[in-house]
Amino acid sequence: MADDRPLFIPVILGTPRQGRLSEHAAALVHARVEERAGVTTELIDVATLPIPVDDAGEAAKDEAFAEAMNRADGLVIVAPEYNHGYPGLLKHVLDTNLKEYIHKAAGVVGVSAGVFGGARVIQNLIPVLRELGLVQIFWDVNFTTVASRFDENGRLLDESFLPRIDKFIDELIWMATTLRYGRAHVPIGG
Amino acid sequence: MPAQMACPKCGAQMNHQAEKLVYPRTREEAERMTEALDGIIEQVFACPNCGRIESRRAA
Repeated sequence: MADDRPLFIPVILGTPRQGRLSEHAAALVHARVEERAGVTTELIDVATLPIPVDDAGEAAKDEAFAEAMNRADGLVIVAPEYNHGYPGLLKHVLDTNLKEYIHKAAGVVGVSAGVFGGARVIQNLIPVLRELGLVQIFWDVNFTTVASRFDENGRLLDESFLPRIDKFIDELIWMATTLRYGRAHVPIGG
Repeated sequence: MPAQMACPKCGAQMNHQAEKLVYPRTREEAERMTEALDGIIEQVFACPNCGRIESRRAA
């Protein structure tokens, strides 16, 4: 069967914090993904998902988010670094699904106030993504000293970030395309 | 090989694409868990036609 559906690669904004600068990073990457031919996307904000916090895991699943994850071929996760870790709500949201992620591509955009650009949050998030069945790509985007990278309207002030974002998206699309074929046509165990 | 699965969305034959080790959610599942695997197998299927993902616990 031919599969000419466009790839679906949503961008998850992974923090609910007030005044978050990750919002600018997510909007920028989302816009760059949206420009790609053969790809559809959606910006998903963890702050607005109606996921309860008095339960956890698949019992707390939100139908619309689960449907988006089921349809997704890959994910961009925009994660600020909080005390060297990932935002608790991001983990809570990701944990509400499992089968929806398996053998799908994931890339992480790290964001930090300091010079490491979320390198530590990316390293901490990778084992979580692996256990969820996601396939991590080898390109990251690191927004170092994020307060100096965007103006108050979210306009990027340093265009040297764009080539790296584009390489990241190139790799994510390659992995998402390849894994879609594998999911559809390659049986496990031969 | 596990029994096949038809896509609930479009009816196409789904591909058994993964076996994921998951952790028991109930006492009953915990009793079925084997020490060798340290978990339970979730069989994951993908539809080659519409992309739908479904899964079920292995028997």
